[in-house]
Amino acid sequence: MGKKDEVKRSIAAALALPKEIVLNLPLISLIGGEELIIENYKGVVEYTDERIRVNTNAGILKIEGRKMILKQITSENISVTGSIIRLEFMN
Amino acid sequence: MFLWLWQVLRGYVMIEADGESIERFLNMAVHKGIYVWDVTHTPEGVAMKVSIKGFRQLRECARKTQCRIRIQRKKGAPFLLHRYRKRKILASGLLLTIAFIYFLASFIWLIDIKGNTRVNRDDLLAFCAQEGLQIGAFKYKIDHKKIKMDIMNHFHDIAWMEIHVKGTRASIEMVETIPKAPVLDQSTPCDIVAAKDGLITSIVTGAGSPRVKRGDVARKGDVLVSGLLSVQGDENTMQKSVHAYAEVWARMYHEIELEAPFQYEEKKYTGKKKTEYALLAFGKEWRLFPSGSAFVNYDRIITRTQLNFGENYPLPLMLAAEKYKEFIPVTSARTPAQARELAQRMLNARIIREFDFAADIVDKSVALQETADSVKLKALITTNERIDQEQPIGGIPE
Repeated sequence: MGKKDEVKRSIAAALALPKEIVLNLPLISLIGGEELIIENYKGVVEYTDERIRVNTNAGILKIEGRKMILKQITSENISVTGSIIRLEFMN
Repeated sequence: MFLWLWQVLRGYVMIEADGESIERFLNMAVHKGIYVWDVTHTPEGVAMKVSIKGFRQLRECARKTQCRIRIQRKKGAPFLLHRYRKRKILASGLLLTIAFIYFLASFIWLIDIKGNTRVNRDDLLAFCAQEGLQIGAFKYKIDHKKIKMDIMNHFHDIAWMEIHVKGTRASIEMVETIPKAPVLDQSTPCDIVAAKDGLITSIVTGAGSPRVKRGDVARKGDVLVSGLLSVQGDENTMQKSVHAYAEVWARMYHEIELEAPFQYEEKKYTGKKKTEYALLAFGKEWRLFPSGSAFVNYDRIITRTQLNFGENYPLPLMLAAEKYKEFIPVTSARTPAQARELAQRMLNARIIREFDFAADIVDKSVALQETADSVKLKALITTNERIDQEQPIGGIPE
Protein backbone atom coordinates (compact mmCIF):
# COMPACT_ATOMS: atom_id res chain seq x y z
CA MET A 1 0.00 0.00 0.00
CA GLY A 2 2.79 2.35 0.99
CA LYS A 3 4.71 1.70 -2.20
CA LYS A 4 1.63 2.11 -4.36
CA ASP A 5 0.99 5.46 -2.74
CA GLU A 6 4.57 6.52 -3.42
CA VAL A 7 4.14 5.74 -7.13
CA LYS A 8 0.85 7.63 -7.26
CA ARG A 9 2.44 10.58 -5.51
CA SER A 10 5.31 10.77 -7.99
CA ILE A 11 2.91 10.47 -10.94
CA ALA A 12 0.79 13.26 -9.54
CA ALA A 13 3.88 15.43 -9.06
CA ALA A 14 5.26 14.65 -12.53
CA LEU A 15 2.03 15.30 -14.38
CA ALA A 16 0.97 18.20 -12.12
CA LEU A 17 -2.32 16.44 -11.41
CA PRO A 18 -4.39 17.49 -8.41
CA LYS A 19 -3.28 15.37 -5.48
CA GLU A 20 -6.67 15.17 -3.83
CA ILE A 21 -7.99 13.29 -6.85
CA VAL A 22 -5.05 10.99 -7.51
CA LEU A 23 -4.46 10.12 -3.87
CA ASN A 24 -8.10 10.45 -2.81
CA LEU A 25 -7.23 12.98 -0.13
CA PRO A 26 -9.65 15.49 1.37
CA LEU A 27 -9.61 19.08 0.10
CA ILE A 28 -10.24 21.45 2.96
CA SER A 29 -11.16 25.09 2.36
CA LEU A 30 -11.39 27.49 5.24
CA ILE A 31 -13.04 30.88 4.81
CA GLY A 32 -11.69 33.03 7.61
CA GLY A 33 -12.63 31.39 10.86
CA GLU A 34 -16.29 31.07 9.97
CA GLU A 35 -16.79 28.50 7.27
CA LEU A 36 -15.04 25.24 6.57
CA ILE A 37 -15.69 23.08 3.53
CA ILE A 38 -14.31 19.55 3.41
CA GLU A 39 -14.53 17.83 0.05
CA ASN A 40 -13.91 14.12 -0.35
CA TYR A 41 -14.60 13.03 3.22
CA LYS A 42 -15.62 9.64 4.49
CA GLY A 43 -18.00 10.23 7.34
CA VAL A 44 -18.89 12.16 10.47
CA VAL A 45 -17.45 10.54 13.59
CA GLU A 46 -18.63 13.00 16.17
CA TYR A 47 -20.85 16.04 16.10
CA THR A 48 -21.44 18.49 18.92
CA ASP A 49 -21.57 22.28 18.61
CA GLU A 50 -18.06 22.67 20.03
CA ARG A 51 -16.27 19.69 18.53
CA ILE A 52 -16.65 17.90 15.22
CA ARG A 53 -14.61 14.91 14.06
CA VAL A 54 -14.70 13.92 10.42
CA ASN A 55 -13.12 10.78 9.01
CA THR A 56 -11.05 11.27 5.87
CA ASN A 57 -8.39 9.36 3.92
CA ALA A 58 -5.75 11.52 5.60
CA GLY A 59 -6.90 10.53 9.06
CA ILE A 60 -9.51 11.93 11.39
CA LEU A 61 -9.87 15.69 11.23
CA LYS A 62 -10.84 17.29 14.50
CA ILE A 63 -12.47 20.70 14.35
CA GLU A 64 -12.89 22.72 17.50
CA GLY A 65 -14.92 25.90 17.70
CA ARG A 66 -18.08 27.45 19.05
CA LYS A 67 -21.70 27.25 17.90
CA MET A 68 -20.77 25.17 14.91
CA ILE A 69 -23.51 23.87 12.65
CA LEU A 70 -23.37 21.52 9.69
CA LYS A 71 -24.67 23.85 7.02
CA GLN A 72 -24.76 21.20 4.31
CA ILE A 73 -23.96 17.54 4.10
CA THR A 74 -23.82 15.58 0.89
CA SER A 75 -21.90 12.44 0.07
CA GLU A 76 -19.08 14.51 -1.48
CA ASN A 77 -18.70 17.43 0.83
CA ILE A 78 -19.58 18.80 4.18
CA SER A 79 -19.66 22.46 5.18
CA VAL A 80 -19.36 23.68 8.73
CA THR A 81 -20.22 27.22 9.78
CA GLY A 82 -19.72 28.85 13.16
CA SER A 83 -16.59 30.18 14.78
CA ILE A 84 -13.75 27.76 14.15
CA ILE A 85 -10.80 27.82 16.55
CA ARG A 86 -8.64 24.79 15.79
CA LEU A 87 -8.14 22.11 13.17
CA GLU A 88 -6.17 18.98 13.97
CA PHE A 89 -5.36 15.71 12.21
CA MET A 90 -5.37 12.75 14.55
CA ASN A 91 -3.51 9.71 13.18
CA MET B 1 -31.50 33.35 -1.66
CA PHE B 2 -32.44 31.15 -4.61
CA LEU B 3 -31.65 28.03 -2.67
CA TRP B 4 -33.93 29.22 0.09
CA LEU B 5 -36.70 29.98 -2.42
CA TRP B 6 -36.35 26.52 -3.89
CA GLN B 7 -36.51 24.93 -0.46
CA VAL B 8 -39.61 26.92 0.47
CA LEU B 9 -41.31 25.94 -2.79
CA ARG B 10 -40.50 22.27 -2.43
CA GLY B 11 -41.22 22.23 1.30
CA TYR B 12 -39.07 20.89 4.10
CA VAL B 13 -39.38 19.40 7.56
CA MET B 14 -37.51 20.59 10.62
CA ILE B 15 -36.79 17.57 12.78
CA GLU B 16 -35.00 16.76 15.98
CA ALA B 17 -33.19 13.47 16.44
CA ASP B 18 -31.68 11.97 19.54
CA GLY B 19 -30.11 8.66 20.42
CA GLU B 20 -26.77 7.02 21.09
CA SER B 21 -25.26 7.32 17.65
CA ILE B 22 -26.50 10.46 15.97
CA GLU B 23 -23.36 10.48 13.81
CA ARG B 24 -24.15 7.05 12.40
CA PHE B 25 -27.66 8.24 11.65
CA LEU B 26 -26.28 11.26 9.78
CA ASN B 27 -23.77 9.19 7.83
CA MET B 28 -26.42 6.71 6.81
CA ALA B 29 -28.77 9.47 5.67
CA VAL B 30 -26.02 11.06 3.60
CA HIS B 31 -25.03 7.69 2.17
CA LYS B 32 -28.59 7.12 1.01
CA GLY B 33 -28.47 10.43 -0.82
CA ILE B 34 -30.85 12.27 1.48
CA TYR B 35 -30.15 15.96 1.45
CA VAL B 36 -29.80 17.22 5.01
CA TRP B 37 -28.88 20.77 5.93
CA ASP B 38 -28.56 23.18 8.84
CA VAL B 39 -27.61 20.53 11.38
CA THR B 40 -27.44 22.19 14.79
CA HIS B 41 -26.81 20.93 18.26
CA THR B 42 -29.66 21.28 20.75
CA PRO B 43 -29.90 20.27 24.40
CA GLU B 44 -32.07 17.29 23.51
CA GLY B 45 -30.10 16.10 20.50
CA VAL B 46 -29.52 17.30 16.99
CA ALA B 47 -31.92 19.40 14.92
CA MET B 48 -31.83 19.43 11.14
CA LYS B 49 -33.78 20.25 8.04
CA VAL B 50 -34.70 17.69 5.44
CA SER B 51 -36.81 17.65 2.31
CA ILE B 52 -40.24 16.02 2.38
CA LYS B 53 -39.08 13.19 0.15
CA GLY B 54 -35.96 12.67 2.27
CA PHE B 55 -37.97 12.58 5.47
CA ARG B 56 -39.79 9.39 4.44
CA GLN B 57 -36.46 7.62 3.90
CA LEU B 58 -35.11 9.01 7.14
CA ARG B 59 -37.47 6.88 9.25
CA GLU B 60 -35.69 3.75 8.11
CA CYS B 61 -32.29 5.21 9.05
CA ALA B 62 -33.63 6.13 12.48
CA ARG B 63 -34.93 2.61 13.06
CA LYS B 64 -31.65 1.01 12.02
CA THR B 65 -29.49 3.28 14.16
CA GLN B 66 -31.95 3.32 17.06
CA CYS B 67 -32.47 7.06 17.00
CA ARG B 68 -35.75 8.79 17.70
CA ILE B 69 -36.88 11.52 15.36
CA ARG B 70 -39.56 14.07 16.09
CA ILE B 71 -41.07 16.58 13.67
CA GLN B 72 -40.81 20.07 15.00
CA ARG B 73 -42.13 22.13 12.16
CA LYS B 74 -43.29 21.67 8.60
CA LYS B 75 -42.42 24.50 6.31
CA GLY B 76 -42.94 25.44 2.71
CA ALA B 77 -45.57 25.68 0.05
CA PRO B 78 -46.83 22.06 0.02
CA PHE B 79 -47.83 22.23 3.71
CA LEU B 80 -49.42 25.62 3.26
CA LEU B 81 -51.41 24.37 0.30
CA HIS B 82 -52.46 21.32 2.28
CA ARG B 83 -53.61 23.47 5.18
CA TYR B 84 -55.66 25.79 2.95
CA ARG B 85 -56.94 23.10 0.60
CA LYS B 86 -60.52 23.56 1.75
CA ARG B 87 -60.60 27.32 1.40
CA LYS B 88 -62.28 27.55 -1.98
CA ILE B 89 -62.96 31.27 -1.88
CA LEU B 90 -59.34 32.06 -1.05
CA ALA B 91 -58.17 29.89 -3.91
CA SER B 92 -60.64 31.40 -6.36
CA GLY B 93 -59.72 34.88 -5.17
CA LEU B 94 -56.07 34.14 -5.82
CA LEU B 95 -56.85 32.82 -9.28
CA LEU B 96 -59.05 35.81 -10.01
CA THR B 97 -56.32 38.20 -8.94
CA ILE B 98 -53.82 36.51 -11.21
CA ALA B 99 -56.31 36.57 -14.07
CA PHE B 100 -57.06 40.23 -13.40
CA ILE B 101 -53.38 41.17 -13.42
CA TYR B 102 -52.94 39.23 -16.63
CA PHE B 103 -55.94 41.01 -18.09
CA LEU B 104 -54.61 44.45 -17.16
CA ALA B 105 -51.20 43.56 -18.51
CA SER B 106 -52.70 42.97 -21.93
CA PHE B 107 -53.29 46.67 -22.52
CA ILE B 108 -50.86 49.26 -23.78
CA TRP B 109 -50.09 51.69 -21.01
CA LEU B 110 -47.20 53.59 -22.50
CA ILE B 111 -46.09 54.50 -26.01
CA ASP B 112 -42.44 55.33 -26.56
CA ILE B 113 -41.20 57.01 -29.69
CA LYS B 114 -37.53 56.87 -30.51
CA GLY B 115 -35.56 58.38 -33.34
CA ASN B 116 -37.93 61.14 -34.48
CA THR B 117 -36.54 64.58 -35.15
CA ARG B 118 -38.66 65.94 -37.98
CA VAL B 119 -41.73 63.78 -37.47
CA ASN B 120 -43.86 65.49 -34.87
CA ARG B 121 -44.45 63.33 -31.83
CA ASP B 122 -48.00 64.53 -31.22
CA ASP B 123 -48.98 64.08 -34.87
CA LEU B 124 -47.57 60.58 -34.83
CA LEU B 125 -49.40 59.71 -31.61
CA ALA B 126 -52.65 61.12 -33.00
CA PHE B 127 -52.20 59.08 -36.18
CA CYS B 128 -51.43 55.95 -34.18
CA ALA B 129 -54.57 56.53 -32.10
CA GLN B 130 -56.62 56.60 -35.32
CA GLU B 131 -55.06 53.30 -36.30
CA GLY B 132 -55.90 51.77 -32.94
CA LEU B 133 -52.54 52.03 -31.23
CA GLN B 134 -53.18 54.19 -28.20
CA ILE B 135 -52.94 54.12 -24.46
CA GLY B 136 -55.48 51.63 -23.19
CA ALA B 137 -55.60 49.64 -26.43
CA PHE B 138 -55.85 45.87 -26.22
CA LYS B 139 -52.40 44.73 -27.24
CA TYR B 140 -53.36 41.51 -28.98
CA LYS B 141 -55.66 43.39 -31.34
CA ILE B 142 -52.97 45.69 -32.70
CA ASP B 143 -52.03 44.95 -36.27
CA HIS B 144 -48.36 45.94 -36.24
CA LYS B 145 -47.79 45.44 -39.95
CA LYS B 146 -50.76 47.47 -41.07
CA ILE B 147 -50.03 50.33 -38.67
CA LYS B 148 -46.42 50.35 -39.75
CA MET B 149 -47.35 50.53 -43.43
CA ASP B 150 -49.95 53.23 -42.81
CA ILE B 151 -47.54 55.35 -40.79
CA MET B 152 -44.86 55.03 -43.43
CA ASN B 153 -47.33 56.03 -46.14
CA HIS B 154 -48.57 58.99 -44.15
CA PHE B 155 -45.24 60.34 -42.90
CA HIS B 156 -42.83 60.49 -45.79
CA ASP B 157 -39.79 61.34 -43.69
CA ILE B 158 -39.52 57.84 -42.24
CA ALA B 159 -37.00 55.53 -43.87
CA TRP B 160 -37.37 52.58 -41.52
CA MET B 161 -39.54 51.87 -38.54
CA GLU B 162 -40.53 49.09 -36.23
CA ILE B 163 -43.25 48.71 -33.62
CA HIS B 164 -42.55 46.47 -30.66
CA VAL B 165 -44.96 45.62 -27.92
CA LYS B 166 -43.22 44.39 -24.82
CA GLY B 167 -45.28 43.98 -21.71
CA THR B 168 -47.51 47.04 -21.45
CA ARG B 169 -45.10 49.24 -23.40
CA ALA B 170 -45.34 49.87 -27.11
CA SER B 171 -42.21 51.33 -28.59
CA ILE B 172 -42.02 52.87 -32.00
CA GLU B 173 -38.48 53.04 -33.29
CA MET B 174 -37.64 54.84 -36.47
CA VAL B 175 -34.90 56.20 -38.65
CA GLU B 176 -35.71 59.27 -40.67
CA THR B 177 -34.70 59.90 -44.22
CA ILE B 178 -32.05 62.43 -45.18
CA PRO B 179 -33.96 65.66 -45.91
CA LYS B 180 -34.47 66.35 -49.59
CA ALA B 181 -32.62 69.30 -51.05
CA PRO B 182 -35.03 72.03 -52.11
CA VAL B 183 -35.63 71.84 -55.83
CA LEU B 184 -35.50 75.11 -57.68
CA ASP B 185 -38.75 75.40 -59.50
CA GLN B 186 -37.60 76.96 -62.72
CA SER B 187 -40.79 76.47 -64.64
CA THR B 188 -42.83 79.35 -63.17
CA PRO B 189 -41.63 82.81 -64.14
CA CYS B 190 -40.82 85.14 -61.28
CA ASP B 191 -39.15 88.41 -60.32
CA ILE B 192 -36.63 89.02 -57.60
CA VAL B 193 -37.82 91.72 -55.21
CA ALA B 194 -36.24 93.31 -52.15
CA ALA B 195 -37.24 91.76 -48.86
CA LYS B 196 -35.89 94.70 -46.85
CA ASP B 197 -34.72 98.28 -47.31
CA GLY B 198 -31.01 98.71 -47.93
CA LEU B 199 -28.09 99.98 -49.94
CA ILE B 200 -27.11 97.41 -52.50
CA THR B 201 -23.54 96.26 -52.14
CA SER B 202 -23.47 93.42 -54.60
CA ILE B 203 -25.76 91.86 -57.16
CA VAL B 204 -25.05 88.66 -59.01
CA THR B 205 -27.72 87.71 -61.49
CA GLY B 206 -28.12 84.14 -62.63
CA ALA B 207 -31.25 84.63 -64.71
CA GLY B 208 -33.42 87.62 -65.55
CA SER B 209 -32.64 91.25 -66.31
CA PRO B 210 -31.25 93.32 -63.41
CA ARG B 211 -33.03 96.59 -62.68
CA VAL B 212 -30.66 97.87 -60.01
CA LYS B 213 -26.92 98.14 -59.70
CA ARG B 214 -24.42 98.35 -56.92
CA GLY B 215 -24.82 101.54 -54.89
CA ASP B 216 -28.56 101.87 -55.51
CA VAL B 217 -30.98 102.18 -52.65
CA ALA B 218 -33.65 99.50 -52.61
CA ARG B 219 -36.96 99.81 -50.81
CA LYS B 220 -38.85 96.80 -49.62
CA GLY B 221 -40.87 95.34 -52.49
CA ASP B 222 -38.82 96.96 -55.29
CA VAL B 223 -38.11 94.73 -58.24
CA LEU B 224 -34.39 94.02 -58.27
CA VAL B 225 -34.22 91.54 -61.10
CA SER B 226 -37.07 91.19 -63.54
CA GLY B 227 -38.11 87.89 -64.94
CA LEU B 228 -39.18 89.56 -68.17
CA LEU B 229 -36.57 89.48 -70.90
CA SER B 230 -36.63 91.43 -74.11
CA VAL B 231 -35.04 89.35 -76.80
CA GLN B 232 -33.84 91.38 -79.72
CA GLY B 233 -34.79 89.67 -82.92
CA ASP B 234 -34.02 90.64 -86.52
CA GLU B 235 -37.23 92.53 -87.04
CA ASN B 236 -38.99 92.85 -83.72
CA THR B 237 -38.27 92.46 -80.02
CA MET B 238 -39.82 89.49 -78.33
CA GLN B 239 -40.76 89.36 -74.67
CA LYS B 240 -39.90 86.22 -72.78
CA SER B 241 -40.41 85.46 -69.13
CA VAL B 242 -37.99 83.42 -67.04
CA HIS B 243 -37.57 82.27 -63.50
CA ALA B 244 -35.25 85.02 -62.29
CA TYR B 245 -32.46 84.10 -60.00
CA ALA B 246 -30.04 86.45 -58.25
CA GLU B 247 -28.06 86.88 -55.10
CA VAL B 248 -28.41 90.44 -53.85
CA TRP B 249 -26.66 91.78 -50.81
CA ALA B 250 -27.44 95.13 -49.22
CA ARG B 251 -26.14 97.22 -46.39
CA MET B 252 -28.56 98.31 -43.73
CA TYR B 253 -28.56 99.89 -40.32
CA HIS B 254 -30.13 98.68 -37.12
CA GLU B 255 -30.52 100.69 -33.99
CA ILE B 256 -30.52 98.92 -30.66
CA GLU B 257 -31.36 100.60 -27.39
CA LEU B 258 -30.78 98.90 -24.07
CA GLU B 259 -30.93 99.82 -20.45
CA ALA B 260 -29.05 98.20 -17.60
CA PRO B 261 -30.56 99.34 -14.30
CA PHE B 262 -28.41 99.74 -11.20
CA GLN B 263 -31.01 98.15 -8.99
CA TYR B 264 -32.21 94.64 -9.54
CA GLU B 265 -34.06 91.93 -7.71
CA GLU B 266 -32.32 88.80 -6.63
CA LYS B 267 -33.66 85.54 -5.24
CA LYS B 268 -32.36 84.74 -1.83
CA TYR B 269 -33.26 81.18 -0.94
CA THR B 270 -34.36 80.69 2.62
CA GLY B 271 -33.55 77.00 2.53
CA LYS B 272 -37.15 76.09 3.26
CA LYS B 273 -38.37 73.37 0.98
CA LYS B 274 -41.57 71.48 0.60
CA THR B 275 -42.46 68.64 -1.71
CA GLU B 276 -45.97 67.69 -2.66
CA TYR B 277 -46.92 64.60 -4.55
CA ALA B 278 -49.69 64.00 -7.01
CA LEU B 279 -50.79 60.96 -8.93
CA LEU B 280 -51.59 61.41 -12.62
CA ALA B 281 -53.74 58.93 -14.46
CA PHE B 282 -56.07 59.11 -17.47
CA GLY B 283 -55.62 62.87 -17.69
CA LYS B 284 -56.68 63.44 -14.11
CA GLU B 285 -54.64 64.49 -11.15
CA TRP B 286 -54.99 63.42 -7.56
CA ARG B 287 -53.05 65.30 -4.94
CA LEU B 288 -51.56 63.17 -2.23
CA PHE B 289 -51.45 64.58 1.30
CA PRO B 290 -52.06 68.22 0.31
CA SER B 291 -50.76 70.69 2.83
CA GLY B 292 -52.38 74.08 3.01
CA SER B 293 -49.58 76.45 3.88
CA ALA B 294 -47.74 77.80 0.86
CA PHE B 295 -44.84 80.15 0.42
CA VAL B 296 -45.35 83.66 -0.94
CA ASN B 297 -42.36 83.56 -3.27
CA TYR B 298 -41.19 80.22 -4.51
CA ASP B 299 -39.60 78.26 -7.32
CA ARG B 300 -41.57 75.25 -8.39
CA ILE B 301 -39.79 72.23 -9.81
CA ILE B 302 -41.99 69.47 -11.16
CA THR B 303 -40.61 66.01 -11.76
CA ARG B 304 -42.78 63.34 -13.33
CA THR B 305 -42.01 59.67 -13.10
CA GLN B 306 -43.85 56.89 -14.83
CA LEU B 307 -44.61 54.15 -12.38
CA ASN B 308 -43.78 50.72 -13.63
CA PHE B 309 -43.82 47.15 -12.64
CA GLY B 310 -40.51 45.95 -13.95
CA GLU B 311 -39.03 47.43 -17.09
CA ASN B 312 -41.61 46.09 -19.50
CA TYR B 313 -44.75 46.74 -17.52
CA PRO B 314 -45.29 50.46 -17.15
CA LEU B 315 -48.48 51.32 -15.31
CA PRO B 316 -50.91 53.97 -16.54
CA LEU B 317 -49.87 56.06 -13.57
CA MET B 318 -47.43 58.90 -13.16
CA LEU B 319 -46.10 60.25 -9.93
CA ALA B 320 -45.53 63.98 -9.99
CA ALA B 321 -43.35 65.49 -7.32
CA GLU B 322 -43.69 69.25 -6.96
CA LYS B 323 -40.80 70.74 -5.09
CA TYR B 324 -41.24 74.23 -3.73
CA LYS B 325 -38.21 76.26 -2.78
CA GLU B 326 -38.93 79.43 -0.88
CA PHE B 327 -37.00 82.60 -1.59
CA ILE B 328 -37.12 86.22 -0.51
CA PRO B 329 -36.75 88.83 -3.22
CA VAL B 330 -33.86 91.08 -2.28
CA THR B 331 -33.07 94.34 -4.01
CA SER B 332 -29.39 94.56 -4.83
CA ALA B 333 -27.38 97.24 -6.56
CA ARG B 334 -24.74 97.13 -9.26
CA THR B 335 -21.84 99.51 -9.54
CA PRO B 336 -21.77 101.66 -12.73
CA ALA B 337 -18.91 99.53 -14.04
CA GLN B 338 -20.93 96.35 -13.56
CA ALA B 339 -23.94 97.96 -15.24
CA ARG B 340 -21.80 98.92 -18.23
CA GLU B 341 -20.52 95.42 -18.50
CA LEU B 342 -24.02 94.04 -18.27
CA ALA B 343 -25.22 96.41 -21.00
CA GLN B 344 -22.44 95.17 -23.29
CA ARG B 345 -23.32 91.57 -22.55
CA MET B 346 -27.01 92.21 -23.23
CA LEU B 347 -26.05 93.85 -26.54
CA ASN B 348 -23.92 90.89 -27.58
CA ALA B 349 -26.68 88.46 -26.70
CA ARG B 350 -29.14 90.49 -28.73
CA ILE B 351 -26.85 90.69 -31.74
CA ILE B 352 -26.40 86.96 -31.70
CA ARG B 353 -30.12 86.42 -31.36
CA GLU B 354 -31.13 88.83 -34.11
CA PHE B 355 -28.44 88.62 -36.75
CA ASP B 356 -26.57 85.42 -36.23
CA PHE B 357 -26.05 83.43 -39.45
CA ALA B 358 -28.49 85.59 -41.40
CA ALA B 359 -26.27 88.65 -41.73
CA ASP B 360 -22.68 89.79 -41.70
CA ILE B 361 -21.94 92.52 -39.22
CA VAL B 362 -19.88 95.18 -40.93
CA ASP B 363 -19.70 97.83 -38.26
CA LYS B 364 -20.85 98.39 -34.71
CA SER B 365 -20.80 101.72 -32.89
CA VAL B 366 -21.82 101.82 -29.28
CA ALA B 367 -22.63 104.81 -27.08
CA LEU B 368 -23.06 104.43 -23.34
CA GLN B 369 -24.79 106.98 -21.18
CA GLU B 370 -25.05 106.93 -17.42
CA THR B 371 -28.28 108.24 -15.87
CA ALA B 372 -29.34 108.47 -12.25
CA ASP B 373 -30.49 104.88 -11.94
CA SER B 374 -29.22 103.03 -15.00
CA VAL B 375 -26.80 102.81 -17.86
CA LYS B 376 -28.36 103.44 -21.26
CA LEU B 377 -26.80 101.89 -24.33
CA LYS B 378 -27.35 102.95 -27.88
CA ALA B 379 -25.81 100.91 -30.63
CA LEU B 380 -25.82 101.36 -34.37
CA ILE B 381 -25.15 98.12 -36.17
CA THR B 382 -24.29 98.09 -39.84
CA THR B 383 -24.95 94.77 -41.50
CA ASN B 384 -24.65 93.25 -44.91
CA GLU B 385 -27.61 90.99 -45.65
CA ARG B 386 -29.14 89.09 -48.48
CA ILE B 387 -32.35 90.76 -49.56
CA ASP B 388 -33.44 88.85 -52.65
CA GLN B 389 -36.85 87.24 -52.59
CA GLU B 390 -38.83 85.49 -55.30
CA GLN B 391 -42.17 86.89 -56.37
CA PRO B 392 -44.15 85.22 -59.11
CA ILE B 393 -45.31 87.19 -62.15
CA GLY B 394 -48.79 86.38 -63.22
CA GLY B 395 -48.82 84.64 -66.59
CA ILE B 396 -46.85 85.42 -69.72
CA PRO B 397 -47.48 88.99 -70.90
CA GLU B 398 -48.50 89.60 -74.51
